[in-house]
Amino acid sequence: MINDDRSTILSAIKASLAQAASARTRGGLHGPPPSIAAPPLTNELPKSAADRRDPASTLATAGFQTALDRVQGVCHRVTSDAGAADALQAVIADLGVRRVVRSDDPLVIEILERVIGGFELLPPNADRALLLECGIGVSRATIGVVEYGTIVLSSGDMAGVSGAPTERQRLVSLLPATHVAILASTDLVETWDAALTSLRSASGDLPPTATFATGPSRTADIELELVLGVHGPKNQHVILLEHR
Amino acid sequence: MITPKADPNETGYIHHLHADQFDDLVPQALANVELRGALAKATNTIRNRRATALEEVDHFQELRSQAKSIKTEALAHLDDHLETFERQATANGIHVHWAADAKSASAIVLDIAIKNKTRLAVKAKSMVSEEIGLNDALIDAGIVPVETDLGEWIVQLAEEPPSHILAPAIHKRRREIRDLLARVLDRPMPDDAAGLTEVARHELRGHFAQAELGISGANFLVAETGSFLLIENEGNIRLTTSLPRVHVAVAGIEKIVPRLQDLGPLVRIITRSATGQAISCYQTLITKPKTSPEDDGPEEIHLVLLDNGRSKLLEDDLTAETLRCIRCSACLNICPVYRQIGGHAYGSVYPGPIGAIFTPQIAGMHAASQLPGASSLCGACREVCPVDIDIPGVLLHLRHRAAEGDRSTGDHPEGDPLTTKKNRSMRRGFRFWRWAMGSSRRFELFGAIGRLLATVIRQVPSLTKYAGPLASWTDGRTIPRSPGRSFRSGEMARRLRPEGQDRA
Repeated sequence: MINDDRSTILSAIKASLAQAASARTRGGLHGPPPSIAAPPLTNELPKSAADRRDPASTLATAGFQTALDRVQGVCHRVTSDAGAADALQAVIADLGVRRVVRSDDPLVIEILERVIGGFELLPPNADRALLLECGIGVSRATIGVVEYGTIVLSSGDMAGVSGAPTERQRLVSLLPATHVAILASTDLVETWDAALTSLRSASGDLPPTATFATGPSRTADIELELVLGVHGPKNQHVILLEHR
Repeated sequence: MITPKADPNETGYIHHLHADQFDDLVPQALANVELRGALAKATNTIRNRRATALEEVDHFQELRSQAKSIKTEALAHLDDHLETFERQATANGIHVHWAADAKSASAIVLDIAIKNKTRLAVKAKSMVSEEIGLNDALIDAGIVPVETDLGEWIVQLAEEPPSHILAPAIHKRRREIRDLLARVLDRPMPDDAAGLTEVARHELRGHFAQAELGISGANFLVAETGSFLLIENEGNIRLTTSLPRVHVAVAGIEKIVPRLQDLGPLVRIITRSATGQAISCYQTLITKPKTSPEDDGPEEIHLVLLDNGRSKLLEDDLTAETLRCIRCSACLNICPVYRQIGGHAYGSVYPGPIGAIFTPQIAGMHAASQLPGASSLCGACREVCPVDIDIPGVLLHLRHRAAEGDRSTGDHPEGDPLTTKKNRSMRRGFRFWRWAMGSSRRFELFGAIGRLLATVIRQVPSLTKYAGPLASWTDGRTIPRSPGRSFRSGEMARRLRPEGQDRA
């Protein structure tokens, strides 16, 4: 039955396209034919002047912070791993959470080790009921996009640019009310498109799932009033490591 | 009620369609003053946000033509791209299914649900699942579908269809939503939007944790890599596609784009056109199920490709433009008709200008012949369309089809007695008009009669109610004041005439 539908659909499309083509050669009902052959796509996308910056520069990190600010995210720019741990500690203390869940990324683990306790640290494969109760999730952002303040969260054994072989971060970055992403400034790219391209490995493979996240989750479904934090995180922090 | 198996010459099916009652639904909607107030406020807000967002883009028209050409190219070789997509996605471990019609798509999803012993399915907002009536099919099989988009959840609890492509509960006031939740959940509710949203977060978390199946739509299918992209703000799509063991996505065949790099321009333009954000909160690119047992994410991913009458639209370059639509809903927010009557009056899950062209082409003219008339042809919808669909052109084409029937499909609206009667009197009217305007003498004669009638009717107010065939015309309009004499005989016309040509 399924195969049946497949051939039905494909032959219906072919028949329709053929009919449109023959109408076109007859100079059909609707005037001259539109140019169906699209102009070749170039990699040149509409860009702002900012695109010509060197991504690793201070301008890029400042740009990322400004963009994240605009979407109610918080960017902590730090210049050492100790600074990153301090920033993380401050976020945890501010929110007064008792449980923190982490992803598998070595850098995330390393920074968390420097944070002085007072909370229970859960691994990413902790019981789901515990994860749902967890206050903060800490994971690695594989790419940061300067133009929008976007972080890219990729899963699986193809975790992108400099991630661990298998970073389990999907639930860590999604279930807790606060998500803290660790981002190295060398992983910054200017545009969304560049981030998409750099997700592909040398062999052209893509990670099983990649989420481009820009700020905390939001809705305007009740009288178009903006509310931050619906199903995804209510707070989005990015700790940007300027020394890495 | 589901249509029989589609053969390629038959039209598709839209669930809960009652667009044939358009003439009755509109006065009801217009009488609802609160609805009109809510709509005017809401659509104005989104319009302004959109306009501001697009001012920030340096080369909007360039971006727009890029988006348009991507979709045009995809449609011109739709069969090839679909086959490429199937090959790539299958290689990635995604199960690809083909559904020629709504019935077959529902059956495929139901089959997957039953095989996985589903009792509870969480759903991300998907217009196509509304189109095929998936929720009713699941309920009939004893499976509970729970909508997880906030607006969609609200209309599901209210047992109403969505009234807007993007903001399903746009027609509801906050107080109404509070009362609804208080009644359904049987406890007092907070007054503010933030409080109500928090309630939804809590209620739905439980469902996410338990559901065996997650159901979503898809914004774009990438042929080159066999991936698909989902765009959202709330995070409910991420949950729907991460927590349950099995994920099923249903997508119309027109959602395809050839290459991965095509996503950039489309993502750039869609959210700006839709909500006025520079970019949505989340775009999730799904390429394969989890690769190792310890990983997060679903073990199984299914993708259902739905035709349901879409392939038929490719027969004509004009109607094919309809398939470029990326469902941003900018045309709804700008449309003077939508802004007055709201989404429910269209009697279709696809309302507004895009619904007025999509619905009759998918479900057949006989089911929705009045919708193409639901427009003043002002052209605002085309102006804001991010992929430049000639909506007014398609509307005119469909009006022609509604009046004349479509010989190619044998879809004759004459089957509908109401349309037939209307058509006949309309044709008679226009035949008379042509004759009356055919000579200057007749033109002057009927002009004089018209002026006389206008004077008489204005002086006897009760006559306006009994003006025969024109009575309904005067429902929404005042009878023009007679100027007393024709423009041609007036002083102004004389002055405009070149000298020496004054008529004796």
